[in-house]
Amino acid sequence: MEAATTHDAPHAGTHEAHPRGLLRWLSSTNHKDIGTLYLWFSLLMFFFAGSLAMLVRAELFQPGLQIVQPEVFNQLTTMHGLIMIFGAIMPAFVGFANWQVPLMIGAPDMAFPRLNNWSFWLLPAAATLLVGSFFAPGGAAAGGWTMYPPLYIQGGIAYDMTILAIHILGISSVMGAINIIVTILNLRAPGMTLMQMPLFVWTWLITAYLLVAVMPVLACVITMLLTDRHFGTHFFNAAGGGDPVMFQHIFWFFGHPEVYIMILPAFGIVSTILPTFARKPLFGYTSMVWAVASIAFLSFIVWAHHMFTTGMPAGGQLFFMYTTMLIAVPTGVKVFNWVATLWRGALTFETPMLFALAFICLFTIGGFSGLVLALVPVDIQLQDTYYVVAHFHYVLFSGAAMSIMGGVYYWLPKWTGHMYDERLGKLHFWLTTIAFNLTFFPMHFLGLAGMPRRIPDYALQFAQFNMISSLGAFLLGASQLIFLLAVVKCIRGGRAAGDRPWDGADTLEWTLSSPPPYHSFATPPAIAPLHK
Amino acid sequence: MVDIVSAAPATALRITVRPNSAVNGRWRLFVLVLLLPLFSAIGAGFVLLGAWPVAPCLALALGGLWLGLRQVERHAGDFERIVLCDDRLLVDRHDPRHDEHLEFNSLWVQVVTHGDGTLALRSHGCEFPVGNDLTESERVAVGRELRSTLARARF
Repeated sequence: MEAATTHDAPHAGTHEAHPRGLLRWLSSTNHKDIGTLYLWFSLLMFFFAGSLAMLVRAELFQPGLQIVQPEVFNQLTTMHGLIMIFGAIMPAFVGFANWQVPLMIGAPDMAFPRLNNWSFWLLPAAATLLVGSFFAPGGAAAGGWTMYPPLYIQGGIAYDMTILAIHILGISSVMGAINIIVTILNLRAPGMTLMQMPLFVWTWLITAYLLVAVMPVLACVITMLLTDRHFGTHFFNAAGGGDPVMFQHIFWFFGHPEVYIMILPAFGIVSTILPTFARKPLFGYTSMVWAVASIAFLSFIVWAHHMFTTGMPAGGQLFFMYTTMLIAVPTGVKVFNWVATLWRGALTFETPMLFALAFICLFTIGGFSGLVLALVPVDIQLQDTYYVVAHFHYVLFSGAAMSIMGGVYYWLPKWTGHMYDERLGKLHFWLTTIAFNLTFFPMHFLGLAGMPRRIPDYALQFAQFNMISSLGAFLLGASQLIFLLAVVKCIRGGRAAGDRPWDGADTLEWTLSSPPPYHSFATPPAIAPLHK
Repeated sequence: MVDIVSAAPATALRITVRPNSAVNGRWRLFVLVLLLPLFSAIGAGFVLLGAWPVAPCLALALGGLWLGLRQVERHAGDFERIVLCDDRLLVDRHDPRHDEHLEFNSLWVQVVTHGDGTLALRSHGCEFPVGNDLTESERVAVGRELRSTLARARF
């Protein structure tokens, strides 16, 4: 006769006590602490890059130069893009991964906790370089977030600072991705198969593979820029026999999967929120996993749709047009499954659910405008117009950023142990959604009418839509202060959340206390089939 | 993971502490084999375009992933086993760097729990820590089980 009990012990040992004060945050190897650091860092960067956007919209409020000179305007747009992508959205999703992946798979921590600490603390150094480049002679880099040569070969020291910052951010991302892959593959609780993982974990596993595959490409291309700038090589310098268009090919080979790096975890968050508030299992779990994997695969073979106007054989244009349109198929599967999850569900409309529903509607608009841009003859007309700006903000703000906000409201009760203020949350949601559409929807019309992007001044016929857009942007910026207020208020106190504040939530983190213990899952959870 | 197995007779005990590993070596190999052609194709494509520095960067990233998976693989077989059988208490430890075998007389060995929660076996004036990879509550459970089985074995 045998009696066996099984407990989980983290590989590297556990320490119930942990440092307090500043040292806790500097030296922490705890996934929750590091997740918190990532999320605060990304919020800080979101506000900084958002402030740059406010300046951009203030300049564009009416025709004629009012606030900044053209070169400063270009610095603002460049840094807004770079900081939002690398400083705000990506770290926010890594913050979610740090907090949620171990909790959702029943692991005590990340596989490499020290590497995790290092991954985070590289970010402030990179952010300092990016923000500090505004104070460099000649100001910050003004060549656009895409870093195209020859501008990035000819610029001053701020361009070196930017390249170095992107290098550091890339190293941090690759280290984080390796950590996430190893954690998900190896540290799942006994009994949890890959097809039992919550969809958020699946989306992050696939995102991590994308990161490992494309971040080195970015690191390499900016290293080549650096050697062109300082070591006499001519990879991209046409005067020395180089090819600036080759930069675009390499950059967009990274750049397009990068879009999915910023949107796949958003799919995961939305796929977690919807079943909770529909009180139904996610419709078509398996097809969702395959759709995410297909999107990730297709993202490798569509890069040149960003470059239709650079000159390309007709066969190449057709190939990239069709592959781009093909992405609509798995994306359609996802949208269908989300809607089918809602169908006949017992829906309630708390703040996270509102953000998830807005995501479906607005991201779909962004997806459709992407389909429009995939058509070569249309793209040639709309390249570098405000239509493109509208498209990618519908994807990245209403897609990535609003899913992050929804995810924060969804998991704040678990993270803090308090319920957030629902009234503040809803006020934040409605103001954000209205202001977002006010800001970016008119940009479609501006683009169709021919207004080019990255210009500080414009012709008179664009004045009214620009004014509406700027007013929307100021409201959008101001409404994010409500978000900050809601988060801080929730951290400082509020109604006790209970272990499972959402009655439809069925993933493992809700089996723990709110907030979870410093070392979670000292005993591995019982795994029941989650998605049958 | 710790498995505490109280086997018949009641004076026998086997405790095994080992890290949780959700995938085996074949799976890890499969992951790398799946990625290798993809990375090779990307690298080769860029080399042909003249952007040869892409290839070593990709190799570096894949190497990093391989190192991470290998580190996990190396420690997948680690264990600490405490076996009480007849009049002997045996402790076996295994990790990639070394193997250790300790043998105690079960009539003399004492189970000691220190103020900081660490667990040790004491015999002939020497102390040997055990259960370092366990949480505090697990160490308490293991200590309790060991003490009670040793007491039964002595009488």
